[in-house]
Amino acid sequence: MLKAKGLTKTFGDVTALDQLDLDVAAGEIVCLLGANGAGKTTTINLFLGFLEPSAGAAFVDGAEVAKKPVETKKRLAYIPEQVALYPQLSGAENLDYFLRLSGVKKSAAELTDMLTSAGLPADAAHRRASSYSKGMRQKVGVAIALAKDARALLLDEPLSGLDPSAANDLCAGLRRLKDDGRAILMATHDVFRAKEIGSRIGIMKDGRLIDMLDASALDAGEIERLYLDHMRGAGDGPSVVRLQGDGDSDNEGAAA
Amino acid sequence: MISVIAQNEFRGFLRNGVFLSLAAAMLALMIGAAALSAQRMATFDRERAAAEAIDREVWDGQGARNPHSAAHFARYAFKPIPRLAAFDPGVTDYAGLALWMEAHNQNPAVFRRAEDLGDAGRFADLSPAWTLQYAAPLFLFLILFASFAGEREQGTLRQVAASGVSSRALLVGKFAGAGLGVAAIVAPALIIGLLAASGAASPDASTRMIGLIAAYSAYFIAIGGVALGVSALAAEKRTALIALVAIWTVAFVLLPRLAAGLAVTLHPTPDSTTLRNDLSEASSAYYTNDAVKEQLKRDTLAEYGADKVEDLPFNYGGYTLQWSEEYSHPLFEAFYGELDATASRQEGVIAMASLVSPVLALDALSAGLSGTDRHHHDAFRGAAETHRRTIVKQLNDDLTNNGKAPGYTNDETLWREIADFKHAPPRFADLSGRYVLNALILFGYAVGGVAFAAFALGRAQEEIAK
Repeated sequence: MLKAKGLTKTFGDVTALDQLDLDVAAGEIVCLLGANGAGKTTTINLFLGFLEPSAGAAFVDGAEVAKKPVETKKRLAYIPEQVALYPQLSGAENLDYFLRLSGVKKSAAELTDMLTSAGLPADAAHRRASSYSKGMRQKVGVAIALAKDARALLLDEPLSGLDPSAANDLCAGLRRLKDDGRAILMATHDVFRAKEIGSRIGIMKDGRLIDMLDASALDAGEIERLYLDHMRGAGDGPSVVRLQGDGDSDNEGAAA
Repeated sequence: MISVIAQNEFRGFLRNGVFLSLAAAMLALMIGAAALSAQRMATFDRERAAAEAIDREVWDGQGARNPHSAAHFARYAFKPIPRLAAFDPGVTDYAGLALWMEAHNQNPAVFRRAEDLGDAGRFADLSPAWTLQYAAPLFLFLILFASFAGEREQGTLRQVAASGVSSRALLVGKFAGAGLGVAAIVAPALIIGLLAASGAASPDASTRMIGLIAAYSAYFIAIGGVALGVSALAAEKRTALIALVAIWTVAFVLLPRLAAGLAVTLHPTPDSTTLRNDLSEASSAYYTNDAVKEQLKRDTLAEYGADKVEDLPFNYGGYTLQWSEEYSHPLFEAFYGELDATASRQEGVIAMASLVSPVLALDALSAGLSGTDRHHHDAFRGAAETHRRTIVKQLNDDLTNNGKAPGYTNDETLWREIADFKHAPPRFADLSGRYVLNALILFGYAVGGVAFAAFALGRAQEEIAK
């Protein structure tokens, strides 16, 4: 569903993303772990068409993002670290607006249902978003993603700053989306949440995908250890649980 | 898609306290300006009607006297004030409302309202046009500065872009939404202003009103484009606000004054003493030129085969009075022609300045469309002069033809034959050539404003990901 092929982005002399090969299938959550500047957000921006790739290509459901930016965006839902809402509109009105931008029209009752399904308290759906906590805004973001019926989701640090309860709610929502057959690519710093919801976990460093782990084969502690090893440089190279089919070509060669 | 964005933009305005406050302030300002203007127009109408009646009554009731004495007693030409002066008074307060049509002199218009207002009068020029030209741009900048910059700051611009909205749809939608917001503020104001000026007797009132609506629309499209463009380019809404307020201060407050100052410095209008002296010289040109007087006498006596003026079949005094009048006509024309040329040169400087200050182009066009600018005043002056010449000739001819006996007088019979001054202001189409440059400049601003906004949004799209 989401595919990166030799995807590269440079800013002047700086290579923000280097030859990324990645595939996120329907019904799968791939989490990207990495320090700031590792290339996670650049990857998401390239899938969103906010950046032009310097080399390679990103595909959404078979369509190349650079060639069909508007069309591919319509197949995507995006939840940033801070879901931005119009403060003067209610949650329901925000949801309605973003859906209508995507060509989706829902009734007022449907909008309220969607928000409550995403975990927003019913009484908050018609309050102005200026009074929302970050967790509530993230839930509206999930509702937008759900209602848009997007086939793939891109999440950029969506759990950052959420209280444990809100993070749990959001993770539950994401699992439901995965179970619904959506492909989800999530950038995060949170190893434990990545383990909790991820099907696979990619570790990025200096613009390169240096490892891809099977989340079900490792416990959170092992994943954290491997991640820290990679960050310290001690673990550069694929782990024993590295999956076939990802991070091949140059990444694989470099890692070997 | 575009309508969805436009509706959301407009809904945002309606829920924005600043917008509602500014809209209310604008409306109050316009109602105040329109009421003041309407009251001023009513006063003009009432005073003019009363003055015209008194002038006629005094003229007819002056009693028996020498016709030339009556020509000095003279009458007034009262300038008809177009109804649209209630919208844009133009030079109405400065150019004078009446003109004394006396013998020998082509007087400038008098009864300038500006002279009667006192020191505080310079703050009294609140009109619907002024409000739209100067206050409305600031209001629009205050409501539009956050259009893109605010969305970028709160993150919704990125979210909208991620929804699959093309930059073209975003720009058009934003522009349409801003247009609705601007219209919500400006349209009631414009309607109130034009209503205050309605009841127009002018035959081309509808043409003028359509022209005004088109001119102000172009103006606000330009201002909207600049506001959206700056908002799209600014990284933060605070930066956009500062930039727009700076643009308003320079282009709408300082430059118009600087341009006017520069225009009168480069092309000064003669001071009142010089004007009076020049007019006096023109009016007495015949009487101060003995050679001309002698030549006229010789030529006239020769023409009629007479030895002395007493032998002429008419009153030579009346004849010379009329001859001296006509002798002065080209001198007056040269005098006022030079004043007009100076005014044109001043307007040329202001037209140049309007390339960086759209309000100057609109100001000239608005006053022209309202029939209250210099060109319309000049048409009144020309008509009054034609009427003065007719009256003076009528009186001089009576003296010439009937006044051979010493102590000749005439009475109410003749005075009643003198027609009242009637002036039909020129149709806009007849003067339209004078406003082509301003109209083109304003149209250029509108196109430029939209182009700037489109360019800025293109840049903004590139910046979204950063």
